[in-house]
Amino acid sequence: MEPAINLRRLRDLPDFEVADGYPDVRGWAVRGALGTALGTVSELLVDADAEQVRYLDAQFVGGPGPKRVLLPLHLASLDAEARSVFIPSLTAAAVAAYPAYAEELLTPAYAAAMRQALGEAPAGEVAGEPL
Amino acid sequence: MAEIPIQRKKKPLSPWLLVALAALALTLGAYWYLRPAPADEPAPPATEAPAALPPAAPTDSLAPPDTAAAVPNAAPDARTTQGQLLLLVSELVTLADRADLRDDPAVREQRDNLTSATARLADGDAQASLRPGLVAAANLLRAMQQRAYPALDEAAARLVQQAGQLSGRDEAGAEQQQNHAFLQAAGALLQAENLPPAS
Repeated sequence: MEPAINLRRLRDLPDFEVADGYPDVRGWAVRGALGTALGTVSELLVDADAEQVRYLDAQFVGGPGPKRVLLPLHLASLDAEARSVFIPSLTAAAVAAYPAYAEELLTPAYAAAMRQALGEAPAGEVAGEPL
Repeated sequence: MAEIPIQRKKKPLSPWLLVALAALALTLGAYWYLRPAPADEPAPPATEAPAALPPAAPTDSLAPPDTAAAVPNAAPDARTTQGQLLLLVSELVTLADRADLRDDPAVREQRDNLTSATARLADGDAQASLRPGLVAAANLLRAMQQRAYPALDEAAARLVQQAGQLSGRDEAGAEQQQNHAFLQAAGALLQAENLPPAS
């Protein structure tokens, strides 16, 4: 079982900011495997103990309606010039199957559904703290 | 693949430091705008007295006390009224510079008036009127009397009145006599004021 991660929204940590030399991707476009814009990053979820961004809180705009999702940062590539976050494993099928995020808890079930949608092998559970 | 670390925000500048910097800037700005203009500073020594001098207050002068504009360039001729006046001026200036008198504003002003009023005489200008110098000498003696010699009040007042009646010319015999009488009275008062004050 993975150790619990102290996940917090960056906006809830007024004493912290994105480190110098790294982009603040809030407001950037989220692009999938085909390069099309799927949504926008609205917030960063950080591991306050490790002082690292772990997830991107994004809003998908395609499909039947807007959907709020969490995207693991370690699967993303950043393009500062295009102000875009590329997630190659984010296909149309993945977007459709992606679990909506209720902005309450990063539950083990949500983490598992997220990995499944992105085609990641299950690697145990991620225990989250209330956001 | 991607990585975005976070960091603690850098401490902003202390608001007190900003206030101190603003106060310093205001102080410097106020000093810059309110500092005395060069025109307000004392003028260099006057080399020439004004052409016409009012009788009661002969002239005003910003010349510092040590400029001694009326100090004769050459030794004054004690046989002429002009020379006697210049000798009197020299004595008066020396007395006005005495420690207990020189800090009195009225004495200082009248001293400056006297040196300005007699500047042309000291430069040997034959056309210069004697009257401004005579009146200024009386006013200086009066100022010094009021400063330190209350007992000489009557004599000083009389001298000022006497100076006001002088024509400033020295050609006719009557004018010379009036001038001579004035200079004698002024010399007597000067001698009295040369003594240490009673108190």
